Amino acid sequence: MQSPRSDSRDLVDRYPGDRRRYFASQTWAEAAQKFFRRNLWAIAVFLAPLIWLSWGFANNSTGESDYKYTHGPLTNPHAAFDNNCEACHRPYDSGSLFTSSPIKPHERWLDMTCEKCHAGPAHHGTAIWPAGESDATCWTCHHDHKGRTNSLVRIDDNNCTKCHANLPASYDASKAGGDGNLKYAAAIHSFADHPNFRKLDDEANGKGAKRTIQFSHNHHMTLGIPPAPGSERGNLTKAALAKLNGNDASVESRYFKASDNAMTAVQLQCASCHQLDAGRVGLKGEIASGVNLTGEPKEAIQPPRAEGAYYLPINFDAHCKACHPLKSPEQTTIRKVEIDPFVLPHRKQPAELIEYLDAEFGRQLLLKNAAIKDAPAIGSTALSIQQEIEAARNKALEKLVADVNPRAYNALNGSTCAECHAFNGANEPPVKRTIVPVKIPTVWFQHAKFNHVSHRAVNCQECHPGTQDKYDPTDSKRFTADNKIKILGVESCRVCHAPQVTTSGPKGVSTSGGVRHGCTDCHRYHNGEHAYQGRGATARDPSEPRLSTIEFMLGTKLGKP
Amino acid sequence: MLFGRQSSSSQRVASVLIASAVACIPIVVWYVGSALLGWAWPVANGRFGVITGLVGFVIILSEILFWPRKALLRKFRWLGRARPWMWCHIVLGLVCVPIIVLHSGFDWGGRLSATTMVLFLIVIVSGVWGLVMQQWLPQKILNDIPSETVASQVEFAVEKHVSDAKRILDQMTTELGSAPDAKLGFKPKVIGRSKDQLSAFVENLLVPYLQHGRKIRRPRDLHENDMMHAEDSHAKLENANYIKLGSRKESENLFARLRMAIPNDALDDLTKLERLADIRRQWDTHVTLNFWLRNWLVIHGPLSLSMFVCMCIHAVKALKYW
Repeated sequence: MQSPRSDSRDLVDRYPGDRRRYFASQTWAEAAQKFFRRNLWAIAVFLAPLIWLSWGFANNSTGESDYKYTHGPLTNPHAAFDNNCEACHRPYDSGSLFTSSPIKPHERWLDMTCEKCHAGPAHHGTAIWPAGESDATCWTCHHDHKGRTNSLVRIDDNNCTKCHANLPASYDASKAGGDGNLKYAAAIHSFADHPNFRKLDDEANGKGAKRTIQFSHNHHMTLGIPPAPGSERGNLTKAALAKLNGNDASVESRYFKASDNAMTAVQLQCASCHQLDAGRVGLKGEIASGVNLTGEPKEAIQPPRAEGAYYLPINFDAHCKACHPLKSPEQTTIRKVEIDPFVLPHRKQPAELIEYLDAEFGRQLLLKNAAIKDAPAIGSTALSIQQEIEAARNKALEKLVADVNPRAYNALNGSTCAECHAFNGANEPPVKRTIVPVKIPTVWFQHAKFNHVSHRAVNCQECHPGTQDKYDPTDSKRFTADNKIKILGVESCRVCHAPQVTTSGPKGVSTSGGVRHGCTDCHRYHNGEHAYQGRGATARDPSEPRLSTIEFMLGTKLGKP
Repeated sequence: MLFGRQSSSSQRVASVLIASAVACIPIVVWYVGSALLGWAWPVANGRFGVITGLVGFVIILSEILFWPRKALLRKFRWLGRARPWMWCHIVLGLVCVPIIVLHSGFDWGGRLSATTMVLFLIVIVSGVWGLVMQQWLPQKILNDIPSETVASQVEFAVEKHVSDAKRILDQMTTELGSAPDAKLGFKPKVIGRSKDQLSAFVENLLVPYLQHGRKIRRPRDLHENDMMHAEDSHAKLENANYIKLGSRKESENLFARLRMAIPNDALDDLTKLERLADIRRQWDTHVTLNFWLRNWLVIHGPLSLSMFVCMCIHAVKALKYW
């Protein structure tokens, strides 16, 4: 049905003017003015959010404007690169916006150049990576832009357990070389099921290294270091120690208080021998007491200072010599010349002692026997003197390498190497026997770090039991039983390094654990796990030469991206 | 554009709201699944997030291009009719809602992305609002405004009504429109006191009303002070009557009293004057309805452009810097 004609149409039809020009303006200026007048609100609405956005970026008191193009501030070591993306991220030109993957555009920012400054040996070179992780890259585990205090090396356990929870499935034996066998625990989900220390496992399995030095912690930690029953000597007293060391005041001060009298028996402490690496050098650069590397270039072979994480190796001169001075045995030569004991150098094989013994025996024969002194240098007399020296030397060597008699006084007199050392060639002449090198590891953990200073609040015996037990001098196995590694194992760590547990009992509520127990609390990678290879070690250098200072500040090598 | 084929405006409005609700279903399902069932939260910079972002960008770009396309449609007929384009604009706009919201990962993000998302939501809501208005108000205008004209041209069109009113008044009160009388020659239809009353009504009430409609509540030349102290009760009456012209019922009563005061042969002219007042009243309503029919465009259009600008910056920033 046709709708009725509008009255307005009638009215419009009566309009006498040009209808085509009815709405049109006459000039561009009028048209523009009309446009803006009619669309003022639309223009205002269009501009309002853009102005607000611009104002927000320009005047942002919260610092958000600083993070327009970043996830957050860099960690402290990288703080200098806050405004220099290309210091770490590989630079891209504008064309890369279109040539890179549009599906994973953010991965462009994960193409970084960490190796410019950091060495990255392939800890995970044998890994079979989970689906979606094509390769081992730095950002796989290390995430920056998480604040100044964020640690790049303290990473979440998931980064480790995604492979180590089922290592056989993530381990490519063909890349490992060697026998291709798995050398690490097959499944570790957390510190709760972390295997025991490897050296304890090896010892339990009979694969441990055979100890080549005989030493009883219990014996030495007993008051007076009592001798075996029937021994010629009594307890080690202040007077006895003074006699052994020629009244050396520095030695007495190490083991006794000034108020102790001469008959006070010595009581060794752990720290009497075990000294942290941080305490070796005094504030003024002097070598601390107890370190007496006679004849050695001390300053050259010892680090000037360290962080105190590790105990220094036990050293004969520093820790044994005071009670066990190494001297030649007393003896009388063929011509009845009594040879006074004299100090022998340590760290020498029996064959190497020949020249020392011959020289000293000859010197004392010349001094103490006038006939020898006046005898001609060539002839039968000289030959007999030589034979007399050789006889005395062989006799001394025989004593030095002979099995020790625990009852003998020489345990303190220091006349035998076998007091502590094991020998090879038991059936050989003394001069052909060799002392088995002592291989006590300075650092026992091969793939973990441990800081003794951090644990100084804990008593030594809590982790190292069997070092201060009651000593029974009559026990025939007191030495062999004491040769085991004196550490409890990983269980002693889990007492504290475990999730916090609160238990209630008759004595009330108690809590245990709660100390951090992540993988990276003990383990380091990229050569950082080696105790002897700290920061600045060559092994941790980047593959290319170091950056200059300017290059470091720029974050790139000059002349190349 | 009418949404759906229902003849009832309420049914079409319901269709719009249902379609909008359906567009939100994926959002609700994913959110509930992630919050309660442990589904993975969508991540804006993940594979899914980037794909949805790119798809959303293309859709929004095509939506924005509807604006210039609309102008081109008039020129290039081969682009087809506007209705299918508008239909695509509406459907794609609704489809875009879950895509963009899921792209966001239910996270506002930084200032730029939050601003872009807020603008997007305002654009969508204003678009749905406008679509609802377009289902309802045109039908209402068609029903309630039989004398519909171009709303923006009302102020010009009423000038013709004003001149008509004055012309009709002249026809009623002067010889110009009178019929020849045997005794008196030409005689006006309305004379005497009725003439004065009619002239005062047209000049003081009807013409100002036609010119200004409901915008003016009292005659321009009658100030409030004068009204309060006017001794002329007639002026007070005019003022009250002026206000009454805006009401159909009051207007009918007013004209009914005038009919009683004028001769019968002038009633047709008075009916024409009443018709002019009625048209003015309709146009006032028309202007109001037209305002609600189109006011959302002031939000929808400019904010679409703002959102598009923000979206482009966000896309470049996200692809290049994130």
